[in-house]
Amino acid sequence: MYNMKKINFINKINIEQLEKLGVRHKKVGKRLRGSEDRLQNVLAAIREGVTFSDETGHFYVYNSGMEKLTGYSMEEANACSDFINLLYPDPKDRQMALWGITELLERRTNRETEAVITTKSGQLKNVCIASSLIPYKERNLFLSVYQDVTKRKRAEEALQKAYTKLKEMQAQLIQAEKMEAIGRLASGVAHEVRNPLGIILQGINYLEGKVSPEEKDMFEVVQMMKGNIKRADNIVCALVEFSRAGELRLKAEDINSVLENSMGLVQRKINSAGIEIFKELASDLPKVSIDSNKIEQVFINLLLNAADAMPKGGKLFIRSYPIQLNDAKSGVARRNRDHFKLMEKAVVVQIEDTGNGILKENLGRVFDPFFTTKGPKGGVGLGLAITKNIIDMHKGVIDIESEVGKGTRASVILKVA
Amino acid sequence: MDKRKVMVVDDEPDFLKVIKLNLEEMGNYEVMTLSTAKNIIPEVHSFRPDIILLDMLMPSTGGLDACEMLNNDQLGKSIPIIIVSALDKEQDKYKAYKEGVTDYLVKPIEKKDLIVAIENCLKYK
Repeated sequence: MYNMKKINFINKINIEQLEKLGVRHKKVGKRLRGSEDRLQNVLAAIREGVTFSDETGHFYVYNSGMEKLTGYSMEEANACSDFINLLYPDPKDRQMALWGITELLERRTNRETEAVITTKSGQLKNVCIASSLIPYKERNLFLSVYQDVTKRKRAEEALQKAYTKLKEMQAQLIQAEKMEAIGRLASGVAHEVRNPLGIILQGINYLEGKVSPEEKDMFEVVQMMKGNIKRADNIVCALVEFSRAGELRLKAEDINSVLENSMGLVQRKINSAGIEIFKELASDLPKVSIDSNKIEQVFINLLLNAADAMPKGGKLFIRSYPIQLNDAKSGVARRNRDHFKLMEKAVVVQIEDTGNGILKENLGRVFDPFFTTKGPKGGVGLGLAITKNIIDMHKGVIDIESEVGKGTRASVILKVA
Repeated sequence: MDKRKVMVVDDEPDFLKVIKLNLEEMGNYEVMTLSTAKNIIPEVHSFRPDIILLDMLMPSTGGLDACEMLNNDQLGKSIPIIIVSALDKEQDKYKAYKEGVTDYLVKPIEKKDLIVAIENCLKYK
């Protein structure tokens, strides 16, 4: 039989305790709600995006800053099974984000990274993400703070662009000053050399009249002296020409027209050597930014070199085609001093002959001033030096490939206007 | 036939000597040489040349200054001038032609080319 007295006592206690517990629960609940409200207020007040998520990508916290940053609400983010793909459509950025998570798990340390996210409206934003790993009951939770650094990034990019431009201008200025100094020197040298050459030539002309053609040796010596005065004068002319290459008048031009003009000027020499011409000129080329007179000179030099390499005839291939640059050989790289950027569009002109070719040991010297393999009567060795100088001034690239006995191919890459 | 009178003005004494030899050897030129253009006007009045060969770059009085002096002189402005200079810049040639010179030759110049230029100038005198 139950002891009613005892039961009543227990009931009385329990009810009292329950009442007390209820009051305490209410108080705790109120405190919890207060704390929750405060947390929500704090999260709402933070301008940065703050998220708290697990390894599956489910968000427990996703503040209004994050909504504002991405354009997605927490419900939308959690409803999407592949939110990371949505936020980082660019595989490179996605890879970066995933790698960040892996590193967090492996190193268990805080991590800061920069990435580009795509918002709901399709806008690209640069963000700086600071993430921490919070282990909780054998689970890994991630606290991440996203800071919108788009404005700063744009300003940095603009600054970098301005800096690059300034550097380019400085380089141009140095080059222009250098060329001006070389020009002054060349003009001075030209004047000082031409005066004695003028006296020597007049003197030889005088002696020439005293020597009869029957005095064969004497006559030959006089002619040889005259020939060498012409040669010295040619060197002076080429030196002056070399120094004047710095004055460019850039215009958007059709490269095929410039090529055709140049060919017209050397056609006679090519024809007289019995050289067959094969033209492969692309018809839909973009215009290039060039000084047509100077580039014409480049093509004439290359065509004449090709003709000189085939004294007994051969084949001359002339090509033009568009290109999207993707290798270092074309002078492409990310450094500021490189003339072309990766994937930049350009136009290539190739002049290829089936002539003698250039010895491997000479190939590296073909652009050196006064280097020639044509002998004293062939040239002064400034043609390719001038050519390279002109192409450099255009921020283009020239490359010569050659194999002895097979021929030589010169490729010129020029910037699209 | 009277000899044609050629006045050559150049600061290079060797050039003056050899050009005088070359022109006089032809038989139909009488040559007077001047190593400076400073006193060109009185020299012109005294020698009365048919043509003047003039250097551009000379100390104190340059070729262009000499042209200006000749242009301001009644007798001087009627005499054709050929510039014979080592300067070959287009702007130098332009300045010279602007001063009224008839021809511009760049050194080194062959005797036969010089004679052709002189004869061409004298044809229109």
